Amino acid sequence: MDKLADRLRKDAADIHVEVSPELDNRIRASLAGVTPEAPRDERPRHPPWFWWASSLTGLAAAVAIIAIINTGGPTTPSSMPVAATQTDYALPELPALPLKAEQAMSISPLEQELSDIQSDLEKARQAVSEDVRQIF
Amino acid sequence: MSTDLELIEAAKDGSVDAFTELVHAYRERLLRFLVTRCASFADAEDALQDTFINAYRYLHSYDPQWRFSTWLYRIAIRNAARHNRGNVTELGDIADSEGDPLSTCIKDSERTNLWSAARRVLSDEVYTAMWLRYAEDMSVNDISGALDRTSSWTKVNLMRGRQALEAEMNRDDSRSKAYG
Repeated sequence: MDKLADRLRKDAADIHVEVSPELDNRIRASLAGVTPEAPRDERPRHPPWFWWASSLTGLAAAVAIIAIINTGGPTTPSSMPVAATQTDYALPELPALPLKAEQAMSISPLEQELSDIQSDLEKARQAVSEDVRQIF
Repeated sequence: MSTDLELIEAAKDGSVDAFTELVHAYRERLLRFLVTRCASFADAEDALQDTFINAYRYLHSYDPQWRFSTWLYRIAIRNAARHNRGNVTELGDIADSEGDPLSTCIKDSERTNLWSAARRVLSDEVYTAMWLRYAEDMSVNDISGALDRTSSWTKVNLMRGRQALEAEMNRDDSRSKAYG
């Protein structure tokens, strides 16, 4: 036993207290007037249908949210479109060009189709150039 | 003779007599502790009364994994703090005052009672930890439970308390030698 612990024990024993009869009576009287609290169940009890009801409520809420999102109209832009660039001069109004387009039918081998399409494209380019030259 | 647990079970079933036996077993130990923690003897008595009332009222919440004395001390510490808070008194402030209940309970002696010095140099919590360890022989775990602190905190502060009190003890010893 170390010296300090020994000294502390002795000094604690040197502190003399006595519970007076008055205090004893006070404690007895107080205890007689106290009702011990009943133990409380920490977990709240729910009726057996509680979990089913809460699950169904959650499911209904999810369905309602999905329905609201899907039935909403197309989104509208929040602001007016703004021109990317502004020009100081007015562009001349061009007349509508009569473009002749034919539907391509892919019935030949691919290489031949490609050469046909390229020759069609060249013809169209020449026609457009001719039209432009005639107009201006 | 019944054990604490048997008395507690009987008290839980509504036996005031069983609880009164527990009161008789612990009242002086608790009062001795409370006298060292309260500003006056009357406060210590009030704190003791409140401790037993609270213990009886909330006996169902007592966990038998702890010693009953640990649980009682935990309640007593709170009550002592509540009484001291009402008086706005720190332990260090009352150590030298005339109405100090501790000085009236200490036997006349040539040397200083170390618990008086402890009250002067230690904080309330460290003082309580030292008291529970050396006056009550509680384990570190029980002290941690009573103070609602970790074991590490308790060990560290017991060590600091010891260092502070060893310095006080050595100072007291050298003073006694100097004055013969």
